[in-house]
Amino acid sequence: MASAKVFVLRTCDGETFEIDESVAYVSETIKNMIEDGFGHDLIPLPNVSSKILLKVIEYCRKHVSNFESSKKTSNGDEKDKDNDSWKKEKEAVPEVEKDAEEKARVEELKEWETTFIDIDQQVLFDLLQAANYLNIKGLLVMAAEKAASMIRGKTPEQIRETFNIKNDFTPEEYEDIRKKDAMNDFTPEEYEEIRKKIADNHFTPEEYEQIRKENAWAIE
Amino acid sequence: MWFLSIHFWFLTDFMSRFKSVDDEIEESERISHKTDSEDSDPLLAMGDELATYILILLPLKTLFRSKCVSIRWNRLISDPLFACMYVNRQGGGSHTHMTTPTSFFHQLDFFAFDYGYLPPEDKRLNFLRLDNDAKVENDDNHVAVQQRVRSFDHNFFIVDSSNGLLLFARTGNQCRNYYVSNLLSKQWVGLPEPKRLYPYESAKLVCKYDDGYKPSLAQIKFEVLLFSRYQIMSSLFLEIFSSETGNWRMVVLHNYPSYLRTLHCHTLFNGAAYWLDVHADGAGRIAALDFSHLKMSSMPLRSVPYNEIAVMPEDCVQFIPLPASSDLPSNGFLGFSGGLLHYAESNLTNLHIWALSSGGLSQASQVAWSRKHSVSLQFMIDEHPDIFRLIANYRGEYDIGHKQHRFHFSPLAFHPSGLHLVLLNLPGMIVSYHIEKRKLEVVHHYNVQNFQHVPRFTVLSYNYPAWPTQFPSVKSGHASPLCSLERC
Repeated sequence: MASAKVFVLRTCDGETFEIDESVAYVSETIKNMIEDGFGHDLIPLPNVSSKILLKVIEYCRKHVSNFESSKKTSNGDEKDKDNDSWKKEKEAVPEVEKDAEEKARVEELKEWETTFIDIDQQVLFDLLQAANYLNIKGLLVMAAEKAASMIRGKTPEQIRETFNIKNDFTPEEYEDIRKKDAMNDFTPEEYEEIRKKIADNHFTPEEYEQIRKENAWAIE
Repeated sequence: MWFLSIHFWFLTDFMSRFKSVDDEIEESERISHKTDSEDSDPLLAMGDELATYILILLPLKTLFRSKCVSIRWNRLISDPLFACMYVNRQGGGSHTHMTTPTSFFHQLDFFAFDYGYLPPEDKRLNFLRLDNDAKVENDDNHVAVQQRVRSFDHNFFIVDSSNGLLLFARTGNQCRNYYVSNLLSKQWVGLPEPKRLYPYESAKLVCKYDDGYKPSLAQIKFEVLLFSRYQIMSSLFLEIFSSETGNWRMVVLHNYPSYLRTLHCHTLFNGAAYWLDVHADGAGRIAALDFSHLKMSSMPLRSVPYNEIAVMPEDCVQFIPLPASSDLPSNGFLGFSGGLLHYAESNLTNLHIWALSSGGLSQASQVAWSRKHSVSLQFMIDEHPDIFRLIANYRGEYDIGHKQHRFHFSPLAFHPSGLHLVLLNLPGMIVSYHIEKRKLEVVHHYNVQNFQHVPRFTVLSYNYPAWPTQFPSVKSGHASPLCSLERC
């Protein structure tokens, strides 16, 4: 689907980038702007820096080329080119995987994705905001999942460390929340208390050690 | 020692905070958008909408722990709107407080005869999941519950489960202690001792959520119903504990037909209890008691010196006849599946399952049982020789013709969502039987000494709450001191 049309995007720091129509249309926002008639001139993106736009364009180009190659290996059905097709292709993969070429394509895509999203925290969050502003669903999903993976399974202290967040609770508030609301594991002293109350419920020494280790984070 | 170190931490943190904080920074500024701490938090610098987008992907445990990260995070996660979005994120209805994959608790029945030969691990509480389509996020919950369950000793018996809350019992010296707990949020409450001690009793838990729209604001109320399994007099006595009052109260239904012999296999659904009455000569029927009557009707209180016993109106209980082709009510089993009352009977050769086609209590006069399924034990053996070989090994060849080699395959539970699954008790194992596919799958093994005397198990279905809610602290009653294990 060759198109001679080229659009020019301008970032907040004054740099300009030229992209094909097909690449531009990956962003719903840009697509709407073009369809509303603003494409003949520079398209200004005051919320996006050039560093981030480079990444975004990289994603869009990959998206388009991936789509093209998947059309070749599939039966050539008309697939909608909206941003959801990125996700739909991934979901539909099990059926199409019978074709070895398709399989290889999917593998390569996964690898590309992993490298693509392996970026600085700051870049990741800027990318997330850009994807939101430019309305690129697939990129938004990818970046959000990466951000969530940085939080998943971590204790609050680890999360604070990762994102450099200040603990602005007072000690009393913190204890309050930790005890009542946060579904936390017990502190060893709480376990002691419980053990005394349920007198015949003994923990073996190994279990007790394990419980203590699990709850070390609560002491911080 | 831990205690001291916490205090030390508090002190140093407090002191350092005191030193570095300027006098003019006030409470409001601490949580305003302008302080440095806000700017350094990238998640919130993006705005609440995007932050929500990310937080919604987290599993429940991490999410709740993250409430401790900072005030903004806490506020964001505690927002009822966030709770709604979280519960809805898979696109599957928020009007239930439960997520769909169902798990089961199973344990030796609290009142099972003394199976002293069973090793402690066979008496313990077990937790299993049958559905294969359980989503990844729920694995976190599953692991959490598994961990909790592992720390129980074998004196703790599960009695009932309702809407995410569980009822446990423990025998003490000449008393029976009941506990209600929410395993996910690790809340426990010990109930005061009931007024009477019955030799064999059944307890049921009823848990209600007050507000259907906002999961995090929902108020939970629960009640525990206690009744004797063996009927001695022609009156039916019940004790009810309410979390609102923090006390037990006694209710009696007079003129309960005295030909009743035993009450067993209770089941609770939609505020009504159903149980099986079996007559001495083998006849049986199902009794249904609508508990909403107990609250709505104003009952005259008959004052007795230290007990208040409310008398139930006689139309509280309705009777549902058993299916015409049932012949062994003493081996009957009641349960709910897909919103319909099911009755199963197993004799030594066959298993029959019926479903009550009518709605329930209000249409008791138009009772119609439809036979849902029948299967013969021989068929099951032929289809799954490898499973039955495990049993047969115990005693030699299984022969359905020889009486001394027969055993029961008694039903333990129906899958509540109506997934055509029935859990059956075979000697030495609990299996799940799929009605449509006619397939058996072993779910759990246990030791058995004599395969004709198979211990009874309690199997209860359990759904994770989609959003864990605090359950109310139970008011301490004036009758007896409340032993509450706060945050056990």
